[in-house]
Amino acid sequence: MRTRTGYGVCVRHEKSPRCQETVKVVRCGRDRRKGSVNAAGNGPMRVWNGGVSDLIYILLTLACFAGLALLVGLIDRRLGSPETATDDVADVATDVATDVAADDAAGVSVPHDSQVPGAAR
Amino acid sequence: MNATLAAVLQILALVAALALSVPLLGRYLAHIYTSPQHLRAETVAYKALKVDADADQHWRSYAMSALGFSLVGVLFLFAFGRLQNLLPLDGGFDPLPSDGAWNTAVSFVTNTNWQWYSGEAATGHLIQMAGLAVQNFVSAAVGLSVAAAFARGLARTRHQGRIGNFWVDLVRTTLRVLLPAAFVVAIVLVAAGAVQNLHSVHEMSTLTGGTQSLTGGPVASQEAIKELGTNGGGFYNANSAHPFENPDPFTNLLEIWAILVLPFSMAWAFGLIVKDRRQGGAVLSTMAVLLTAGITLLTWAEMAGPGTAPQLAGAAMEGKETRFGEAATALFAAATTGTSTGAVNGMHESLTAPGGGVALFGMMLGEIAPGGVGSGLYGMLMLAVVTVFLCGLMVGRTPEYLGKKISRDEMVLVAVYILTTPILVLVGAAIALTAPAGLAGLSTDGPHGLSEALYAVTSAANNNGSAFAGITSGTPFWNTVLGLLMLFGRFVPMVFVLALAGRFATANRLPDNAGTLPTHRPLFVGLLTGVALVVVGLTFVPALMLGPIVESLS
Amino acid sequence: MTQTPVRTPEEHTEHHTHVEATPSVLTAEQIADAVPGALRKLDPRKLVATPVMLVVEIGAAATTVMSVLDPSVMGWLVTVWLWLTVVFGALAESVAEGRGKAQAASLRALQTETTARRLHGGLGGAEELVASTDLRSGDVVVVEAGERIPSDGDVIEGVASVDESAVTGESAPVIRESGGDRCAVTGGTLVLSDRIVVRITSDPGHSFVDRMIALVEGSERQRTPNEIALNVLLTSLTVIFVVVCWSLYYLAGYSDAHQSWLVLTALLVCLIPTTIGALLSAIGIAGMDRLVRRNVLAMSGRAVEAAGDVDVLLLDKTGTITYGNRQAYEIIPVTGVTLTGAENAAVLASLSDQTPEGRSILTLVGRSMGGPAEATMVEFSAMTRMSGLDSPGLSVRKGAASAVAAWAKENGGQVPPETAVVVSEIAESGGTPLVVAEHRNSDPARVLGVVHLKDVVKDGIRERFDELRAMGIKTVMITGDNAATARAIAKEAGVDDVLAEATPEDKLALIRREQRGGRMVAMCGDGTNDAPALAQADVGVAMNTGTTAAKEAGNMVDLDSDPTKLIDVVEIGKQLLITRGALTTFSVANDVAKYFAILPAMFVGVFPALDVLNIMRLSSPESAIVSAVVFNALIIVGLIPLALRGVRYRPSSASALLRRNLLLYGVGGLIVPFVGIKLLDLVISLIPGL
Repeated sequence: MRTRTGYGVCVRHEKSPRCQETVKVVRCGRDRRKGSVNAAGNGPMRVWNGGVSDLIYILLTLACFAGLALLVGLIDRRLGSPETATDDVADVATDVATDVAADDAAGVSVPHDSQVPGAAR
Repeated sequence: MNATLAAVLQILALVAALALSVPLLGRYLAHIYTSPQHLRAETVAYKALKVDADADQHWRSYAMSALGFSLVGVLFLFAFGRLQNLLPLDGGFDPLPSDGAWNTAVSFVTNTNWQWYSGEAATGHLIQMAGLAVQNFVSAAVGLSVAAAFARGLARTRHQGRIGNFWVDLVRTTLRVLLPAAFVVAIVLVAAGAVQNLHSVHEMSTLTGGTQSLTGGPVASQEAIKELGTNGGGFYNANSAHPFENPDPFTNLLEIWAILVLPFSMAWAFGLIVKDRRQGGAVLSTMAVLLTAGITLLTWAEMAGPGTAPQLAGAAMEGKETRFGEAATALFAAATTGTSTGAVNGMHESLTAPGGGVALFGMMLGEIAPGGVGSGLYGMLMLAVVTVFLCGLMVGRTPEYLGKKISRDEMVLVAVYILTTPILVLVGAAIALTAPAGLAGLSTDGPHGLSEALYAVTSAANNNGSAFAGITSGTPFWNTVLGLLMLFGRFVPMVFVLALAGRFATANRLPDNAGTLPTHRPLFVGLLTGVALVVVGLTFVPALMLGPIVESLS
Repeated sequence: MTQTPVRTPEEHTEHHTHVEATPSVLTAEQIADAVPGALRKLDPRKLVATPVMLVVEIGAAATTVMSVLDPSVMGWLVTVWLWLTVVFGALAESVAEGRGKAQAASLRALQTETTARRLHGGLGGAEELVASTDLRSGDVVVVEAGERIPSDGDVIEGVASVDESAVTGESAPVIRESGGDRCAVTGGTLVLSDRIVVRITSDPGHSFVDRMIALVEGSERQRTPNEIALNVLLTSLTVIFVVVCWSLYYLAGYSDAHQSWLVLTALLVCLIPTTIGALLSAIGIAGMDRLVRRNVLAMSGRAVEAAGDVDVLLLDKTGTITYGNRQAYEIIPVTGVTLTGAENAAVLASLSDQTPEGRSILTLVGRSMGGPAEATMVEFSAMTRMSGLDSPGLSVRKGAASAVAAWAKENGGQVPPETAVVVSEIAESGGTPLVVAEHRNSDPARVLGVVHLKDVVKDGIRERFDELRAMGIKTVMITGDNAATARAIAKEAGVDDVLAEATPEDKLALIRREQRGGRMVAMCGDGTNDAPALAQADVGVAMNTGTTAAKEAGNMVDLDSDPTKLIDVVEIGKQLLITRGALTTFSVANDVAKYFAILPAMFVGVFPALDVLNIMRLSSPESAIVSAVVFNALIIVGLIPLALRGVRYRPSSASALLRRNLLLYGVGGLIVPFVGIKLLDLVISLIPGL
């Protein structure tokens, strides 16, 4: 990487800003490239050298996204929309009871406007 | 011209350029995210994709579309990496190893662009153009779409969870914003000297008698979207420190502008979408305050910071390009960590201890100053909800943001959002610093080694992508751990954001009056800044204490 | 004409006092009483509701084990103070509950089982004796003078005076009669005279008194939506800090600065928001208690919270905005008559007038005079619409313009045209004109002047509405008056809007309209026909004098039946939320100082450079950690009085409130622990062996 001093980088670390492997990779890449050219005949075989690990990573990806999809479903069920969100069942029960009582006593119907927030009790 | 004056002038030039472009681009973004009109090209795309472009999606479908689209992206890119030697324009490179291909796939789909490999030595032109660059566009578009959906959710009332159409947002962002913008920036970059060709490696002899290989490629086109989409994945390993990517101080400033312009514009667009420009102004101001603080501290640290070598040399030039100098490197570092870009024009590992700490803290903030495209806006809005909750109580009302009441369920979503990234970072750091495979990747021990590991996990979980370069991350351990952090750090919060958008879209909008906490005044900007700093500070101070803080004080 | 008496000046001033700190001395006795209750609350199953305190308890248990296994002075100090932190938290809640206990005890006394005289088969059936606990809703009972009413119900036959002092604290007996709006009776109250037949409206265990007991004791307290939301935030902060401290073990291990779990537990407890976590439920209970102290019973904490959010207040004109009756405002003499002459005549004419209006004339003129000898008082009647007196040689009359005009004509007099002008002017302004005339000897009767009666707006009510406006609350005056009159009074009182000639349906429609616009509405009412509106309103305060239906429909009952209380209720609701927010801010701000105390102490051994951050110059790492833990525990105790009393609250705009509270509790929360921990360190560093 000394070569890069030509671009004006003050070098102490023999590493790139992103990855120390550069040096190694540059070299290995070269070597491998040669190898790959040499082994061009059986190329496909070399590609699948990591068949098992490929499968593992594909399954890992699918599992992660399945988990995320489950999360979406869970949130949708539990907190999806404000109407279904009742945080205080007992309170709501008394709410209804009071309204019914009021209806009976007053003989006036008190329809509950579900659009209206509030009626907090 | 002395260095301080130059530093101030380039910041002023940047501010001027942003001030001119942000309102215009903001208005344009607001228009495309609310307009019912489709372009003809888009209609064709919808037909091809078989989507009903006029359908208003429930947040659930919106989230599933975004997740499904990203899943396909990951699998596609993974396959691309594994099979690159069978495809044309492979540059003669081998396929990436499984863990590396997966890490890269996740990295580019999550808009992180963490690169364990070096571009010029591992990836051919085809995967750069058709794999990585494509994700540079669409991963940015996904972020912007989600932010737009969140803004629409806040603007709407009684929409029963409907927040817009993901496919429309995606296509419009790509076609109407990112492609034209990237085209223009790429042309300017080419004009200024960046490389754009399909050449393979040139071997050449140097004056000293050695050989040097120069890799050409479609650099400028990728450079443009890399900055505009706050992606950060460089064509070359040296990223924006490479003269083919970033030839001179002008392109340097242009790239910094390109990094910042969309996140800031999205904040402005937010104000327009919710039909209250002042709200967008407040969010934008908070981002600007945090970024300004970051730039100031970083510039100070690099130009006059502590450390024996810098003191002797007069400034910390180690690991910096002489073409740019300390100030321009500090500015770039603050911009790239304040956004989720992660492009670098110098080595962050070689920043002074406080400077590295500021860069690290910028990411820990959750990328909100001004953050990644889209993700910066929704991250900031989530913090705004927390702020409103705390302060709303202090004015004696059930807290509300933009007329949307913040009760238990909203708070649950915001709380888990805020929890996700810190937990990923801290758990990731604890694992990395105990597992032998994690320790093996560190270039040094002691506080700087801790900073290296902490920087890596923070960068991954916050989808930044920059690194303290000493770390050797191309191992199965690091590739897998960081890949998981990137994946969860991107999509888990995104799900919570969309769920909250759905709730807000359903809720009624309460009228505001003198008793409502105003969320557009300087006081609120101050509070939001304070909450961001305190929440993040309290979470990460112990970890920072053992890394950059100890380093700075020693 | 309403019966509400004119309020004394003392009563007016009472209405402008803001929600001041109710005197809340925390006596040693109160604390001692609360200890057993506090210890019972340490059951982890009960602490699950407050995850913050559960974490502290688990931490305390863990440090106990660690200290037993590896004893050290610091270990035991930390352990003891962690346990004390949990106890203090439980104590806060217990003390808050204790304050309602006394009231609950007096209510319980009402519940002594009595024998009820049930009418078998309803009204007209045969009487049978049953235990009051056997009465069911729908049963009909007879209650006579000297007997206690066995259970809640409505009077369906008869009239009686009832002593309700046990429930309301008001010693004057009240009249309860069948039909109309005064038919509701409360179980446990005493019938003083006559005989009434009552239809029971509640089942055993569900009566009004039962509910009151449960409410004042806080035993049935359900956490309110906002409290739950805040708890979510606190829990998430707790989770973050658990992860922070857990990961710090490994990070410190990497840095060769190994930390014991004991120190990390101490750090964890200091960081999680224990202050607000410990005081959260006490704040809620105390909020209800503050209402109880004002004789308002909220049926749920939720209603109190909703009160803080109210955007629109519907206020009945009578009794809330005006004194509830018309009062003499000025006396306008006709040309040629002195003011004194007109006044004297008005006073003479009012001597026999016992109506509030008549008395108000005496009050206005400010002097009384004996009537002439042998005078015959002419009392006001709805027929004559005049009052006055007749004596030999002088007759005076005061009354409705038309009636007096007729009387004057009868006695040979004329009404001057200017009087007609004055009369119509007064009427147009919403007032009531009373014409005064005299008939001396055989002269023709002559008109002396006009008394201007008007609805007098309460002193200070205008300022109060201005404050409400500053708080962002819109006031709407509800009145049965015609539009012109209503507008005149509204203008004078400074309300934002009026609903004139209001019917119960109009009220309900108004509430619905406001709610549809997203606004929260509060109102008060007493009649059966108010019930639907009370039920629809977000905060419905029913008057205790009102009907059962009204009380059931509202979510608060005002035992004093004072409609002005509605404003206090709003202020108490706001104060409750502000107290929560202020203490949360304080609690979180505290963490900054705790970091400065603990983190350098933890790592200074390995990284001496960190000593720079020990800005408090604490004497030793151990002392620094113990000081932070002790401060964390003591601040809970220190803030119990504030939690019970509520933060000081003055109505003002949101921005002003925020600025003030942020300065006090945010900045204060940053500074106080620095001072506190430093002071504690001075003492704790003296402990030998630390």
